[in-house]
Amino acid sequence: MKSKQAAGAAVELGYTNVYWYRDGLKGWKKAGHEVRVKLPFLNEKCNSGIDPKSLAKMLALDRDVILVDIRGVPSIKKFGRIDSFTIDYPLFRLNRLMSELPKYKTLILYDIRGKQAPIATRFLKHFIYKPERLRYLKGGIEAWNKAGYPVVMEQ
Amino acid sequence: MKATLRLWTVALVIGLFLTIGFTTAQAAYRTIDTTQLTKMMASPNKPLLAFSLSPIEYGAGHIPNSDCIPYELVKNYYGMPARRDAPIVFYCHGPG
Repeated sequence: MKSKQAAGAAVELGYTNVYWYRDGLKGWKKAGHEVRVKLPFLNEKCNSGIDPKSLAKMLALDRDVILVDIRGVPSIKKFGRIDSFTIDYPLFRLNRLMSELPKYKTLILYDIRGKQAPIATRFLKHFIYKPERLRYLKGGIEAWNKAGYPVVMEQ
Repeated sequence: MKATLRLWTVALVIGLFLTIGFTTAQAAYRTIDTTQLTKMMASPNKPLLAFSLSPIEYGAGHIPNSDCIPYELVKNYYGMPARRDAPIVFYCHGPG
């Protein structure tokens, strides 16, 4: 839970009046309160998912495929990386730095469990990318590991 | 004499435990639920409500009047309050 970690980090910084809202956005919504949506297209359906098997095939055949790893450092250390050409773009920076991503390659985004990558895919599709050039890995690195495909562990 | 010494030792140990407990309780964050949050947001000393995921996820949905302070940026973000005793509430998508 990132909010828990954020609260811990604020305490470490010396803040003395820190709270963690346990119920989160889901609890807030469930209680009937208003949720503000700035970019409604982010909540639309996204059919660009690709399963680990198809990805492994793509990586073996197509040299124009680039992986975009949107995870943070702790997850990379824990689960390792898919062994292929990868650009690191943590999700919290993606909105600022998306123009740096190559436009004429096929990009495949992946995260830990396949929850954040679809939203990042929709975001990039809306602003820059052609849908056929942008996919995400269904189930994230966990599904990849589960399917038994190799990963590279970092020291 | 021995009994008094023993009593003092016990008192000292209890005191030590209490102090440690108090300082750790002070150093940690407090957990709140929806009712407490709505009360806090309506009070005059309104806390800074911080969404700790990415700006993209913030765009997909957030609590009104909250700021986006990604977890990774908490330690070097200009939006954090200058006063260390200012109330801050962190939240993300929540359980489930």
